[in-house]
Amino acid sequence: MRRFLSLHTWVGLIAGMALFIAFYAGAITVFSHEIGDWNRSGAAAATPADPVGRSQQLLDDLLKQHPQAAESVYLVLPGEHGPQPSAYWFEASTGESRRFMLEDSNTLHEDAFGQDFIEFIYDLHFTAGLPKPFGTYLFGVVCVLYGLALVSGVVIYTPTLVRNLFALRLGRNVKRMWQDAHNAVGMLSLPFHIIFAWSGAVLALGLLLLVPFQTMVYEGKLLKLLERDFYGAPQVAAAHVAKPTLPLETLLQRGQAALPGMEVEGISLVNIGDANARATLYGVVEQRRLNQLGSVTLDGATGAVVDQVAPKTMTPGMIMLRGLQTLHFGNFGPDAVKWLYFVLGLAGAFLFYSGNLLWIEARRKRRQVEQPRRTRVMAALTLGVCLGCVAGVSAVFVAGALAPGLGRPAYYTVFLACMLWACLRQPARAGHELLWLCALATAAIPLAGWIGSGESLLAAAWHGHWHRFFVDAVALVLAFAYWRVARATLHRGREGDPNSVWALH
Amino acid sequence: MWARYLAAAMLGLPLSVGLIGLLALAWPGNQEITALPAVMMAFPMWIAVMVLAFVFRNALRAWLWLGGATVVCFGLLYGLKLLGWIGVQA
Repeated sequence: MRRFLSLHTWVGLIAGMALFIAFYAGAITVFSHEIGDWNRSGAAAATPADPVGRSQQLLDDLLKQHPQAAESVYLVLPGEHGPQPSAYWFEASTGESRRFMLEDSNTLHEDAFGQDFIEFIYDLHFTAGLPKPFGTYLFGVVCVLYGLALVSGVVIYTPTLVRNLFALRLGRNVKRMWQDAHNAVGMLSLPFHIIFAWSGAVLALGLLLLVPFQTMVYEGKLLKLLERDFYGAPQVAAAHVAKPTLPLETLLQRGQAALPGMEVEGISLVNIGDANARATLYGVVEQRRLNQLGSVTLDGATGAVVDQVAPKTMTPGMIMLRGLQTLHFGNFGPDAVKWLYFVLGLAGAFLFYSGNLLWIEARRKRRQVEQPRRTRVMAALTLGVCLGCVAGVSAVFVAGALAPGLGRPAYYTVFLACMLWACLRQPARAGHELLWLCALATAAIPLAGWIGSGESLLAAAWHGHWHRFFVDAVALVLAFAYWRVARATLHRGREGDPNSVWALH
Repeated sequence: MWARYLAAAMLGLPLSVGLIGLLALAWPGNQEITALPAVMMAFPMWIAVMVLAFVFRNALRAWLWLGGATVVCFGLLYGLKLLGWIGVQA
């Protein structure tokens, strides 16, 4: 038992702060498409009269300016991902994806992914702002530690499960109450956490884990074995014989005929203009299964169906992988599921924050004012990382409305400033001040949105712009919550036990 | 205590790859179907193996049991492959 307590403590502390960022940014990412609407303006916000024609124009322009892009393009059609199409060119020589969109004046421009606003928050969710792929692998390892923390937490807690599960002892012993809250939130949302540890690890480390299996078990043939899962039909190389590829309109019609009811969201095109061109249409098709992903692969030149995949006809491996992904993204049901994921995500962030506070409080010296160095360091790190992330994310929103393009520097500036502040100030003071900063920065979101778009919270509700209204309203609720926590921190500092890092002297 | 952490960190991945690899190759049926679920199951197995390191009475036992199991797994994996009882399709 003591061994598991030690394991829970150490992996919890190491992984906890990274997981706080993953959960806080992840809860917001659940609504990434809706939030994308919050500050969209100009050509990007205009709904094209002819979405398919607009996508065709984008593709033609891209191929005209970058003929090399014919090797591999992924087109995102107007719809769920925004009213304007975008094209991703996967450049084989560099292994990088470059994104292109049409500007106001109908000219093509490159638009790097993950640089600003909600896309940056999306990246933050699994890299903490560290460069990829290092940040992604780091978060994969964090997911594995998270799995260990879950198992050891359950082992520690199981003996007293029945007695304590629904106990929340509100009383003089504040630490007892936090411990109860930490345990109850952890146990009641355990299935959710298991899925996240597993699916997070699969998403972030899955490709890397193929390596030992490829070399030590499958004798280098694993990727060949997985080809059917991932590509359906075998990949074909370019024939180097020119043959025109069918227009998108025709390809979409063929795809609809092959898999009726599929709503196409994107088209992947390889070897465009070649006799061996392939077009794969990806979309959602409701077949009363957990995942709703369907795809149809067409011969780009003739339009003949090469392969098709629907939730009912997937391979078992794909059902499992797509199922895990769907459970991770929370896009398997109506909007209520997204709200549930949002709340559970914030509750998860609370779990990690409270876990670290418990560690600090459990190790305080009860008979002296001066506290050991390690608890002060841990307190500073927890406050700096967690509250820096909260304030930084709010700053990204504010920048998204007022200074598009500056979201990324705004986050780093606020985050690092919070870290510095937490290291320099006494923990109790830093906590109180940083929470005030979080509250103010978050309360500034509706204000910034108002200035940026000219539409206030109430006007948004009046006009039925629900995406804007809900972003603003949730920001106000969260700002209120941070303000309350800031007040509670101040109260603890003044009135609570003076022998603690959280006391004000 | 650190010796246990080291055992979990160093032996967790090799043992789980060995166990899952052995199971995956011995599992009946088309490996085009079974390979992907096997790789995904490696993650829960990895966690389980690392937790095991904390179950044994002392760190030495943890090292011996996990290390021994790793050797046995890979021994069986390569031995049975040589005998032709299990193998990679395709």
